[in-house]
Amino acid sequence: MFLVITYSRSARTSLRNITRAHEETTVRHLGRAALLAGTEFGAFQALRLREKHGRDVQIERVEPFVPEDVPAEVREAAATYEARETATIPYRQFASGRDLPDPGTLREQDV
Amino acid sequence: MIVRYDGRTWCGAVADLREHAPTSRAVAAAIRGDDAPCRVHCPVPGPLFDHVGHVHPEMGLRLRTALAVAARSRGLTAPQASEIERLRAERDRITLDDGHQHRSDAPDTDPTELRERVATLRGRVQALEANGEDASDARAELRAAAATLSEGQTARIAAEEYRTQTRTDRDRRERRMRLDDRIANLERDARSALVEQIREPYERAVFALDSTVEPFDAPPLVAALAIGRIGRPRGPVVLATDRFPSPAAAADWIGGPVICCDE
Repeated sequence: MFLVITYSRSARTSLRNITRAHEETTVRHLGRAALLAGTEFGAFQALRLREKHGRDVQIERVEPFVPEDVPAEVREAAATYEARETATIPYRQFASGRDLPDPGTLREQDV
Repeated sequence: MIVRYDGRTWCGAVADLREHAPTSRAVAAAIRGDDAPCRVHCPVPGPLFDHVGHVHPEMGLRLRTALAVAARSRGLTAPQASEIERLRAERDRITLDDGHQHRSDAPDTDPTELRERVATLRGRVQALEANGEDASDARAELRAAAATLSEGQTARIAAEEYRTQTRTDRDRRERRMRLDDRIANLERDARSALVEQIREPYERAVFALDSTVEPFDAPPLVAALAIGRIGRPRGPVVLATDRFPSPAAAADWIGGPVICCDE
């Protein structure tokens, strides 16, 4: 899929026109951004915006996410932290003393 | 005001061009200074002319915008004016680079692995040299690995720079769009404030023309004439309407020079 983010009022208006006219290609419209289908038509619309508005349009290619895409320890860390009893404890503190990755390590690892 | 057309000249507040050929559109173009078959010498038209300077039956009119322009032509100001000006200045200070950016990606090779390989090769070269053996092959391998490592580092730095620049550029664009949104909202508020300030004279003017219409739902032609009367259009008003008994009556009602045309 293509994530299209606009950075000017006119680009935002063009994007809105496109998502309104092509519902089948619009996966989701979120204000000044939209997720377009990963088809040639989706790319065509994204590129039209880029041609018209230059760098006021950012296009990113995105993929659907499933939790299994990331290492098990990251999933476990998220689940354990969200199941914590003390709501106010920061993750760094929560992780130390438990068998959980510290936030610094998490930041350094690409998935 | 002086109007010249086809060897004839009209001077004063009224030019009756009916039964002469130029269309009202051509006359309006002449007032704007565009190429036209006739010539009109008059003050440079102000912004109100674009809204109500050319009055004809098929005209369109953005009423509230035109009313705000009319209010400004009378020297009225909106309370939002200084804030709008401040935000516009802030917006104009944002500089963006619109040139083409060369994307640069970081290499796929793992720098740690490469660094280890260079260290291993260096050790091997040293060991070979210490034993007095031929180290030329190992040295060539070391040079190649060191070159790959250095190229990778350069590419990584370039990719990092690209990311930083792109992010900075987008942050600026985002900031500009936020300012544009705020300016647009304030302009809308300012327009409403100006419309409120000029509402009463406008309603009176519409009522004087046609007491049966609701002023904010008036046909564009009626609304435009009323706005021409309450505003200061500077340039003459070009009329293609028989709503007034005579061109002189029209000029009198509007309170400024008029040019009357057939269509």
